[in-house]
Amino acid sequence: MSLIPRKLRLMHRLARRNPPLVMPWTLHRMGLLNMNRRNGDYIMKYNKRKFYPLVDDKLQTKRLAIDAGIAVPELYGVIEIEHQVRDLEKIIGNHKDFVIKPAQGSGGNGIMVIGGRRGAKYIKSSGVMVSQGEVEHFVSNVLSGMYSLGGLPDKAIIEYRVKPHSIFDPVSYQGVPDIRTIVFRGLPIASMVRLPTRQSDGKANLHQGAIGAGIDICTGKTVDGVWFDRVLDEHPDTGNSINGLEIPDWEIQLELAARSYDLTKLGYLGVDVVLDRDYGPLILEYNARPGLNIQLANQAGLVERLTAVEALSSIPNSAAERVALAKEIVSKTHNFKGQPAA
Amino acid sequence: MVILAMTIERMSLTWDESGANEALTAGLGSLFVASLGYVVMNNDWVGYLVFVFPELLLVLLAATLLMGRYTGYRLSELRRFRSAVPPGGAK
Repeated sequence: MSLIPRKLRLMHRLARRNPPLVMPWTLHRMGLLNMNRRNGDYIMKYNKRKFYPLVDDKLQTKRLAIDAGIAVPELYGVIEIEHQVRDLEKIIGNHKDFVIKPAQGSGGNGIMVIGGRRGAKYIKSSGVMVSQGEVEHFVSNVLSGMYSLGGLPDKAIIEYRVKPHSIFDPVSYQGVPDIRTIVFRGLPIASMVRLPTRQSDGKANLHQGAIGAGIDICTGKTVDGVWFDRVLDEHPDTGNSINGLEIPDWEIQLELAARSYDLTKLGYLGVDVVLDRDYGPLILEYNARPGLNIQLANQAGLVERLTAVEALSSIPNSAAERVALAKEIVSKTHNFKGQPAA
Repeated sequence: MVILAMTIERMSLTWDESGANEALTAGLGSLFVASLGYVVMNNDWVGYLVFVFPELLLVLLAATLLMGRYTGYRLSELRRFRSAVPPGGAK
């Protein structure tokens, strides 16, 4: 029993909690990029509308990447109209596991991951069994646009199921972690790895409960992570430390991210890469409106880095030079505490 | 009538896709904004000014454009980013 009166202890607790609102000048000083500024000063200025379809449609992204010699998860087939649903079995062929997803899905919705077969049934990655009919019904739903941007009719992509690199085994709960990098004018300026949790149901989307762990651009090592609003250094399901993981093939990934700018012509771009056990880094998708949470994962704002890149009078043509330049710029920036970011 | 029909369709879709909670929140929000609009439109002063000087709508348009160019923090972001402030405050 504490000697401090109960009323005082309650006040103490309330005082220690974060205030309900942060002052805008505090956020400004921390260099935190906000939604309106991202949209007005960066996306509208650097992302030409006519290039959007290239990244909003995963099928176009895939074809673009293959043409440029960039590795992507292998495409097994596409179902474009209801009539083709009957070809599903032929497309799947002998593949034991595969993924079905909408070409223009958003927020990780409408993705079915099949991990194996038993007799005539398919086993989802969650362990639930589904019949051929149920899978076909799901494909029909995808075609109707149920999971897609704006609810417009869509195509269903059937592709290779990525087997995550073993480095992530201790820090992910089912699912496949993916690495998101923000590329501004072709320079990779911030990165994080999104780790699935029990709560996110194996998905790597932060708002669904995945962890975002910042990655130091210069070294490729992870720093602390965020889970919803909290900063943490261990995975809530496995209890293993998410700090200090060394991302394999980091240099290759940075260059992949930088090259994506030449491909998409989008100045402010989010690049999602997955690390496959057998095939190495694969480009999963691009995003023309990447989120702001990467700042929380890195505990560092984007404004300082963006302003530094914006001040460059010219951008090198080679991806390797852009990576080197990005490292140099990032190493001079600061985190939320005002300490050097790298 | 047309607007009402569209609202109903949109709301039933939201109800099916994101649940009753989301649909009711959106519905109540629309109702609130509509009531505000009603109050403003019934103001004698506003009625007089808009009927006599319809070009005032251009001023309204300019104000809307100006608001669209606002690049500062949103009120909701002051809440959203409060966890970003390191313990002991920013530098």
